[in-house]
Amino acid sequence: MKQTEESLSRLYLDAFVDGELAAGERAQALARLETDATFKAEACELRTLKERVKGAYAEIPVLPARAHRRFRFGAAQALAAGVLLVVGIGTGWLVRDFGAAGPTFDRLAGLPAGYQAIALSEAIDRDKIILHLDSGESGRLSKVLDLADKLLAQQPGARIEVVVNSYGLNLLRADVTPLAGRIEGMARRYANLSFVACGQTVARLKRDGVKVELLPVAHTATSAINEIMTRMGQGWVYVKV
Amino acid sequence: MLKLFSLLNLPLRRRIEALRPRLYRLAYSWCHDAALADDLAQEALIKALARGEQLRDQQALNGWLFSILNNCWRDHLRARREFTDVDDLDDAIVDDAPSPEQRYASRQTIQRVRLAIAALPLGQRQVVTLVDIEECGYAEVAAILGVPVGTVMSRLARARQALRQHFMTERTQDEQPLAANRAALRRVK
Repeated sequence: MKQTEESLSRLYLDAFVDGELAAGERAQALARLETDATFKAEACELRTLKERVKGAYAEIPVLPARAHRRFRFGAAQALAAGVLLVVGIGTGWLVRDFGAAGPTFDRLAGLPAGYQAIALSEAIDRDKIILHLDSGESGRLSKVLDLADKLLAQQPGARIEVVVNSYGLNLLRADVTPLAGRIEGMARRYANLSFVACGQTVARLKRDGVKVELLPVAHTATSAINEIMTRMGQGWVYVKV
Repeated sequence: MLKLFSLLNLPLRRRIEALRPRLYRLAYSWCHDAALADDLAQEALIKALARGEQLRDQQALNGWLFSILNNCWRDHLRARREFTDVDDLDDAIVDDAPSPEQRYASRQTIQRVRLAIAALPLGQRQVVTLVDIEECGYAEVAAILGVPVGTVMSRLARARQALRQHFMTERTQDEQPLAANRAALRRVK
């Protein structure tokens, strides 16, 4: 019982200090501050606690992060992608729904239901497609290959780039992927299919002491985001797997 | 279906972009990893720009973006930890402990607070950072995290109690070896 009262009292104190009490209750609490020294001390302590939490994140590491990594890897492509990202986001990606453009564009040939294709601008090449994978689930790993197969069956001339980051990198890690043979076979079969690993993810794993060995067919981009934004800027269509 | 980043008027896009530093800060307070926080903020930003037309009430932009960030964070954790149950996620204490060098630096006040926040179960960590850093109201936090307001209040109370105890213990055991903190940051079920 005492514990319940204490809990209620804590909830009340939290609500007061967080500004969640209704006007009447708040007035009562303010009056109580004048008469109840314990309540006042607790309110004061809670305000201090709030300030400590907030203050701990007033200055946080300045994005070591995207800008730093870009320039550290030094690729002109990365710089271009960064500029594109800023320009793209800042000055206006296309302002209308593609569905409204007419039936010609509302399907991506070979794309099964359940997937959403996204384009950055109206000037797209429907036969240039990025398949993005950031999950390491074994079902997803094979799904991305199934999808590439399907799209290429429908559009033999299409260019497809499988971009992996985070746990999706497992797809292209020679010592981890269960699909090495299939990937290498597909790469041999389709000259227009490429596999790109995120340089950031690779660098992060290496920093953590993980030995990362990619399949010979894999290329490495500065980062998956850069690669995706660069490709989308060039009119590629993006599909998250 | 083919879909464009669409229907976003320029002022809304600018407002979304302007929130990037706050997304990054919030993500950092959840994961305490600058590179990951940057990735999460970036991912949330891209998703927000792609889904801008879903935002019905522009006044609710902050909460909407924070909720996208929350989804990105949970997706990341699921991929990393293979959680399947959201309740597991909320109650999990993930070992986001700083490196040994950072633990040494944690003698400093700010690092101590971050260490204490990092030691909270994820659900509590998110609530306390949304309320104290972003100054969100309880109802807003409930909407962002998709939990009842009562849950927000109880998590907040538990988080603050844990922080109080953490700082109290710290005061009395100030010279304990830093390894003691490490144990507190292990994931428990």
